[in-house]
Amino acid sequence: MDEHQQAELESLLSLVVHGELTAEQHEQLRALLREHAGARLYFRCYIETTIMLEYEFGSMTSTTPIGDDEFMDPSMELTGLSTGLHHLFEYAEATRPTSDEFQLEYEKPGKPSDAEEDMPQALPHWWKKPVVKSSIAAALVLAGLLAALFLAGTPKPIATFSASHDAEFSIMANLVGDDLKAGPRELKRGVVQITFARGAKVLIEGPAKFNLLDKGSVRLEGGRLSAKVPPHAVGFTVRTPQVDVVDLGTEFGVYVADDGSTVVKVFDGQVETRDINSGKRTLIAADHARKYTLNTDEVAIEPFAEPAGTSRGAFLREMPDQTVASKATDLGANLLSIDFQNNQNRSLPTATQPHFKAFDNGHITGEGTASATYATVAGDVTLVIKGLQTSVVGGLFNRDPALANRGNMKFADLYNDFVFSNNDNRKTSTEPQSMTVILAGPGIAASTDYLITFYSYDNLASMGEHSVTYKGANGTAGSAGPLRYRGGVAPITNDQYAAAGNFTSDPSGNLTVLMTDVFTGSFEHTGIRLNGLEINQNKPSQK
Amino acid sequence: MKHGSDPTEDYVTLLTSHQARIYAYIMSLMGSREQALDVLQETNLVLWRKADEFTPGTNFIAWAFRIAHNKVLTHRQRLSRSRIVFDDELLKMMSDEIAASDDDFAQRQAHLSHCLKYLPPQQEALIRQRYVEGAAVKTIAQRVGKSPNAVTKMLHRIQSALMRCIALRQANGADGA
Repeated sequence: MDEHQQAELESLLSLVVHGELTAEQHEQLRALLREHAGARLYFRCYIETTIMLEYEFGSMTSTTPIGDDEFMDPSMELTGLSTGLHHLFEYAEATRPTSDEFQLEYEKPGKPSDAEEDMPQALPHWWKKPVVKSSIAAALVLAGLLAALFLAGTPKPIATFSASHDAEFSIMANLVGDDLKAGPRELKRGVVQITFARGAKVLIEGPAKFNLLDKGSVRLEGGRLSAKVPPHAVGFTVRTPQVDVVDLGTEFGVYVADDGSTVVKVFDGQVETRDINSGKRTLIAADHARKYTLNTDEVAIEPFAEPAGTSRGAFLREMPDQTVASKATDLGANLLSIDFQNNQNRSLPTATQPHFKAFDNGHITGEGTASATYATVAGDVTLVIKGLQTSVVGGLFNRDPALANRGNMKFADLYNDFVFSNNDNRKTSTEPQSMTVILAGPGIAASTDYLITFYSYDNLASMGEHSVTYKGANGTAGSAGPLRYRGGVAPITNDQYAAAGNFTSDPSGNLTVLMTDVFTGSFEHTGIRLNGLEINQNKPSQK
Repeated sequence: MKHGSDPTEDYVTLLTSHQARIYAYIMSLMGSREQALDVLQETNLVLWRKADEFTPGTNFIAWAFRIAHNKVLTHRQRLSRSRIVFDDELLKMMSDEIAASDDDFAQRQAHLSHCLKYLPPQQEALIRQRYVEGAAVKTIAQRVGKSPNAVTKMLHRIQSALMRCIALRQANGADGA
C-alpha cells in the first residue's frame, strides 16, 4: 500500500467513523481492503478504537451517527498530519523499552514501511501478547495495580444528571452535569434526564420517587418515566412495586400510580416484564401497553388501552427544554409566532398566548381566505389561510370547555382556539380535509430554509382522532408531521401537539404549506384545525 | 411469541460487558456505523432469546460472533441493491482474520483508558465532546470556530496517536491498568 492509498484509507475511515460513506466511497474502501492485508488490519484497529472510545465514556448513543456530509471530501488530505499506519508498524517494532509511549506527538513523518506488504500472517504481531517485557512496562504494571486498587475504594458514579427542566428535588439536590451515585431521589416537580453509565437515557417526570440502583437499573416507586435504551445497553431494568421491566433494546415508558398499579408502554422494540412475586414473564411489543394491578396476592395483567391520542403523548419522551434549545441554536432566532384567536361571538374569555401575535376575526377577509400582516425583524410577513368556508363550516373557533395550563404545559391559550375548516359533505364523509397556509412578504427571503412549528389540537373529547400532515406546496420544499391528537386528551407539555419541519421558500419568497387531516371518528367531527404556528429563520448553512 | 428461559445474571453480564466487542466486530464486517447498529440490535435480541442455548463456561464471544455473523449476512441480503455491502470474499477475509486474532480486546480497552490519561487537555476536550456528548463534528466545529474538515482531521490525529499508544503498550507487555 503506497502513501497515497494509505491517505485514502485514512480519509475513508474518518468518514466511516465521523460521517457516512457514499456508495462510491464504500467501493473505494472495499477495494483497498480486498487488496491489502495491512489495510484490513488498520481498518479493524481503527473501528475497534473508535468503539472503545464510545464505550470508554459510557455514553454511546444510538442516535444517528453524525450525518455531516458537507465535508465528506474523499480527497481530504491527511497525509501530512498522520501516517498512522506507518507509525503503527514502526511502533510495533519498538519492543525495546522506550519512554515515548505517552508522547502523543504525531507530527513526525512516518517512514514508509515496505514490510507491511505481503505479510498477512505476521501482521497482527503487535496484536498478540508480546514476549519481551521491559522493566518500564513492569513498573507501569505496578503503577496500574496501585491505581486500580485506589479506584476500587472510591464509590463510582453510576449515572449522570444530563438535563433538567423546571425540576425540584426534595431529598437530594443535584445539578445538571453531576455524576450520580446510587441512592433514592424524590423529584417534586419538573422533568429530569438521567443518563446511566451503560447508556440508557431516562426521563423522569415529577412528582416521582425513584432509586438509582446501578449502572443499568432504577427502581420507580411512583411517578412516570420513559427510557431510551441503545442496543448496547440491552437489559436495562426498571423495577416497580409489581413488576420488573427489562429492556430488549428499545424505548418504553413506565407509570406507577399512587395505588401501586403499574402501566408499561412500549414505543419501539420490545420489553419483557417479570412479575416480582410469581416470576411470570410477559413480552410486550412496540405500540402495546399492559397494566399490572395487585389483587390480594396476585398481580393481574391486562392489556392497557390508553385513549389512542395519548399513545405517543402520555409519556414525555423528549426533554421539553432541549427541543426549544436546539431550535434556538441550530435554527436561528424566532421570526414570528401566531396564535389563532376567536375574538367575536365567544362564550369564554380568550387570551392570546404570551409571546405570540393574534390572528383574529378582524383578519377574515372573505369566504375561503383570511390574512394578516405582521411586522418582524426581517420585514413584514403576510399570513394567508386558504380553504376556509367561513359561511359554512370554517373560520376561527374558540374551544369550550377550555384547556387549563398545568405543570410544564403553559400553552393553554395557544391550544384553546384555532382556525378551522371543514368541507360541505361533512355529514356523509370522513374524507381527508385540507387547508393551505401561505407566508410571504419582505420578511420571507427567497429559496431560504425556515423551521416552522405547527400546533393542532382540539380539547373536545368527541372530536375523535386526527392525523395532520404539513407539506410544502407550489415550489416550497419540506414537510412536518404527521401530528396525531385525540380530542380531549390534554397535552402535558407545550409541544405535545406540535409538528416542526424545515421548509425552503420558493424563488419568489413564498412559503406555501398544505395541511391535510385524516380523521377517524363520527362524520360530524371531521375538520382540520390549526391552533398556532411559529417560524424560525435558519442560520445560513456553514460551508 | 415463544422465547427462551430467563437469562441468568451471569448471562446478562456477558451480554452487556461484550457489547463494544460485538459492535466492533459487526462494524468491521459492514463498514457502516448506522447499519452496524441495526445489526447489533438484531443480534442482541437473538442473544437474549437464545440465552438458554448457551452453555456457561464455553466461549461466549465465539457464540456471539457466530450469531452476529449470521445477522450480517441476512442484513446484507436486504441491502444487496444498495452497493454498500462487503462482498463474500471480503467478508470472509475480515471474519477469518478477526477469528485468528487473539482475545486481548479487554486488555486493549484497558490500554486505551490508560493512554487517554496522557492526552493533552485540549485534545481530551475534543474527544470528550465527540464521544461523551456524542456531538456531531459539525457542532464541534461551530463551537471551536474551525471547519468540520479541520475537526475531523484533529480527531483522526488523536485517534491515530491513541492507536499507537495502545499498540506500544501491547508490544511492551504492559497489563491493562
